Amino acid sequence: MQKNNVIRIIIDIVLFASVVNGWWPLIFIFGVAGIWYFANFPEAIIAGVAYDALFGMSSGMGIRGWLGTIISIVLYTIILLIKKIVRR
Amino acid sequence: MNYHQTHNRHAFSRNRGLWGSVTFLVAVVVVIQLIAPHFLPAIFTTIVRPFWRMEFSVNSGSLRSPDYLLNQNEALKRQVAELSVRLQTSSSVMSENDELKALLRRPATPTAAIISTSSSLSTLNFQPSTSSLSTFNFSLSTSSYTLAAVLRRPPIAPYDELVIDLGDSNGLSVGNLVYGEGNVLLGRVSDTLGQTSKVLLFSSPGMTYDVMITDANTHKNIPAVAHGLGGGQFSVQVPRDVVSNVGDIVIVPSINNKTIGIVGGVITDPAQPFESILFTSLVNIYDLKWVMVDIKPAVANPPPPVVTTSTKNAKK
Repeated sequence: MQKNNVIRIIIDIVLFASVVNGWWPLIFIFGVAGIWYFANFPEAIIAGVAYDALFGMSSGMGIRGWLGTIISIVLYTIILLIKKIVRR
Repeated sequence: MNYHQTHNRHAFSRNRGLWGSVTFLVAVVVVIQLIAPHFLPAIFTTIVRPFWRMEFSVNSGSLRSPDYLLNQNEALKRQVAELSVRLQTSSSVMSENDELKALLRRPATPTAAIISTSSSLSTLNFQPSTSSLSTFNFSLSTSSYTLAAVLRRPPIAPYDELVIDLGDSNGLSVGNLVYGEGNVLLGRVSDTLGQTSKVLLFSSPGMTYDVMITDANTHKNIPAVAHGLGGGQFSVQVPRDVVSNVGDIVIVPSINNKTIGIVGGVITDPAQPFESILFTSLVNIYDLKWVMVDIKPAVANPPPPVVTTSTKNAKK
């Protein structure tokens, strides 16, 4: 198995455990690391959506219940743009 | 003549594919949420729920030795016997309270109902299984209290909410009030799934509602508007002339006077016309294991005196 695949599986397991336990700082750190390290890392957005689906997305919260999704999409976009500039 | 290639066609198409997949993912999430708002929460909760249940069982002592559990069971039985004696005293006071309210043609307090139900509980056999406890119903004529296990609580659960192990299959609906130990108001059900529900705590940031601060000595009531600060903390702004002390009880004004918190501090600035009263929930939300959900039909459920607005709007 390639080294990159092993790293990806480890990061995915950490992301899953963090989402289950609601450890958003870990999701943030490993999500950013994954987006930066891999060319394509949609797991970060899936983690954000899963986080909101588990703990947010309920009445009375409004936009606050979508913070995980919004932040993950924004981070994904910004890091991809930075990568594009830095690695030109 | 040779020219340096300035445009990488493959990289361009790869990037376009990448952006396309991200946009597609976002569009799918938005469309699913618009068509079926409970679809994504239901899927992810179904995947995660076994992990939460397992963690709850481990934390509740399922993996402890039989000797330890037997000793604990024995100690709990003794404690229940002792508490049932105390309950008889308080239930007599509550029944007297109900009689007085009946004289004034007001409905009986649910508190009294709980106490009378709890006292009858002491004669029941213990069910050590947590799953059987969580589905135990206290059915009453006017309201029905159901015990629910807290699967996730702050600070692990963000947004100042609880995740409990009862859902719409157990009769829960959005708006049901949730109580902690001692009939302390904690929050309300904000979303229900099949087997789990989300409870938005009243201390959630942005929540504002009417409260009454009762002076512990003079029993005078001060009406005020409380703002949730998160983590079971609240703040109230009152004129500086209002006298409030640490230890005063804060209630939600109604005939049943639900307790919501206790004053923990008063911040006074001589330069300001107002003072800030900080109060905290009587129940430590970080240690919550069980809560009571008041299951009433949506029609019969009177609107609770809670108004949800954002703090920014309130300031405007």
